[in-house]
Amino acid sequence: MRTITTDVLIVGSGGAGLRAAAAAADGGAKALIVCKGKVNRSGSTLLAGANVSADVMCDGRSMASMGIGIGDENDSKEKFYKDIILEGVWLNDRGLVKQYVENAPTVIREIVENNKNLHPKGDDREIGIPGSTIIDTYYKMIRERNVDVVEDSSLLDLLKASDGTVAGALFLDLIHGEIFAVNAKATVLATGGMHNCYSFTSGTTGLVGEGQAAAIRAGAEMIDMEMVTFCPGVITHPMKWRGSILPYIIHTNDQFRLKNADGEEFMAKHLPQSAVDLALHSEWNKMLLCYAMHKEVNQEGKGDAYGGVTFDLEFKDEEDEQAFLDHYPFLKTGTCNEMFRYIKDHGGIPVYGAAHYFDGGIFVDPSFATSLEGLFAAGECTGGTFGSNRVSAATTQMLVQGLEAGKSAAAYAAGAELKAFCPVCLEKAEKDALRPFEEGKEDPRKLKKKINEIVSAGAGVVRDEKGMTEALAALEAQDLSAYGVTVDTRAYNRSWMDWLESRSMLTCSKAILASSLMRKESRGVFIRSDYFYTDNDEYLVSTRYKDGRVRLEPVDQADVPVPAGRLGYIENIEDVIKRLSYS
Amino acid sequence: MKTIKVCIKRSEGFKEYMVETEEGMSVMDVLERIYDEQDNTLAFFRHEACHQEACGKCLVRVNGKVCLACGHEAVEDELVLEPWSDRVVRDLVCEQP
Ligand SMILES: Cc1cc2nc3c(=O)[nH]c(=O)nc-3n(C[C@H](O)[C@H](O)[C@H](O)COP(=O)(O)OP(=O)(O)OC[C@H]3O[C@@H](n4cnc5c(N)ncnc54)[C@H](O)[C@@H]3O)c2cc1C
Ligand code: FES
Repeated sequence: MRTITTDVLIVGSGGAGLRAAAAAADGGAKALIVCKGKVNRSGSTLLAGANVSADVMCDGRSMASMGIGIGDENDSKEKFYKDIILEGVWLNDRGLVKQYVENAPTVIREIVENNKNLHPKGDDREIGIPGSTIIDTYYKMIRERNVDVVEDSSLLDLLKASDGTVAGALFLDLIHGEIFAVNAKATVLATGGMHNCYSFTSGTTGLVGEGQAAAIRAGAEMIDMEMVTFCPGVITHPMKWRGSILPYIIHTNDQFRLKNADGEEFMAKHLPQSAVDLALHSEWNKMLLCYAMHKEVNQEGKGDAYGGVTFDLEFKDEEDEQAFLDHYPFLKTGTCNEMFRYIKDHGGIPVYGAAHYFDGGIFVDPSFATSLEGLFAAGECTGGTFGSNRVSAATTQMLVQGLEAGKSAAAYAAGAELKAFCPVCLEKAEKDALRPFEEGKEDPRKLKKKINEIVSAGAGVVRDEKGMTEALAALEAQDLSAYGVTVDTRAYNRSWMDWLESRSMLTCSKAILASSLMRKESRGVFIRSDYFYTDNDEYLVSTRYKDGRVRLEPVDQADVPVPAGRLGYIENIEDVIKRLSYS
Repeated sequence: MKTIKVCIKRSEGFKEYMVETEEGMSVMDVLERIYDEQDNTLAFFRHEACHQEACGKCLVRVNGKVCLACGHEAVEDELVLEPWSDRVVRDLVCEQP
């Protein structure tokens, strides 16, 4: 088998992968990125902020020092740190939050300095720039550092040496169908979220949690897998725009309306007025809007033909509309303009909550080492930073974590030797990947759809014991060996890809559901109808999933006071919001 | 809703499909529908697709003109879909740019 050797292998090329590769090269390592798509055009990073305006954040005082006319001298890293922990409803790993807050100004400065012509809009703590601009910044960095790149190749499995150290990984060149190995002293996973475990998502098609699944198969520990953020303003129809979050990006307090199939606004039906205000006027809108939409569609049965609701814009007069367009100038041209016109001409556009961001993932320490020797991870495929709810920027997360993980991996590689793969492990990984050529006959596309349905129903916006138990049982009942390729060629074989993706989806989905079942409360983005309260006596814990089992680990409650006892889910959010420095 | 004729240049030669389309479908959606409902042997770019004209990976020749499959709305009554370059790997998938 063709085997490439390197010091540091980076899997994935979103912001986390690119930043990690540059940092590894700066640390003196020979770095290689292997990625599923195009190295500078893939993953959530590309679509961040609908690729028109993604927020990147640091504390306001540091932002003020960037010299771009944005920031807040009265803010501080301490305040930013505490706010992130409150937003995460006390579940955040304090070490990861500290690392985030400390390093956020560094990456913002990199972006500002590399984009002299960019005049980012923003406010006290954030700038807004297109996702592709972030990628271009770091793509330039890896090219300047001669990082090697292999594109269109998908991670199949991590490969260990005989002593159990991760010694690289096995990949499939999706275009030509060749299986190859990368032998590395250190490996960094930066494979993004598990979006396509769900039927409706805002992510690219390649995001199925294959990094997380490979880590789980290799015995890594996962954290908070139950925490999934849904985005409320994602287009369901027309089909060509399905998955676009543009409505969410332009949802502003005054002009936007959410309506059910009968044209009625419904927020006030499902949320007390104070929560409606929160949903409309605060960054906590994602979960509150999704909750209200979920109730309207699933409980009241007032969903539209596409299973969601209508996002509409209402302007007082032409001047109001013009001011809106001036505020969002990207709406004046191209596809964004077409979408805007569609909303105006059709009395709104169908939207619903889509699986959008994964707060949980691979467990890492603040050096971004995982629980496996030789394996590091960064960005959205990790968990713990944002606890049960992310309000602050994931873009910042991927960059600060990529930076640190690349540094750590290079330092590790400098002190390590290249270890040969354990032969049994290599043979098994290759044989497993080829199973669909030997086993079942059913089209794996059907299995993907089945998993999507099960996960969307059982681990959606609002969950309960019965639904989750049934979903987990349904996942356990799926038999991969019944499925196989629909054509015998190895070259660009979609059914082979579907089989491989199904395998990862099953692994990740089971972890999501098993972890969800252990949390008998509601907190942050995790909402249960049967435990509709936040329980600070029992559940200031993270879930840890490993080898098919979940344990609860107390989260060290440093630095930010937490009230004891139970509080209703909404009341708790109201209470938390009052404690924020910016509320 | 209308039924359109889609001729696809496969590695073995042209193959014709009749596809029911609705307003607002892209060429990518049409290909997806063919794969789902009629022919699960068809190869077209899909493995890390943005669907939003941002990655530039879904190039295909539509009625003679190279464009992005996700960005071209399928409004024609007849679509002829061919690989966008001569370096074909399988069906509509070419060596990546
Ligand atoms: C539509 C959208 C809008 C968003 N907007 C914002 C925003 O405005 N602000 C904000 O802070 N956050 C936003 N987010 C979240 C944020 O963009 C992501 O959390 C962040 O970009 C993740 O970066 P990453 O590098 O960890 O992963 P990604 O950018 O997702 O990159 C993952 C990489 O891994 C590759 N990969 C996946 N599987 C494999 C495999 N098997 N083998 C090889 N490679 C693989 C992918 O191709 C990709 O290159 C948004 C997310 C989405 C989906
Ligand atoms: S799928 Fe990305 S440009 Fe078409």
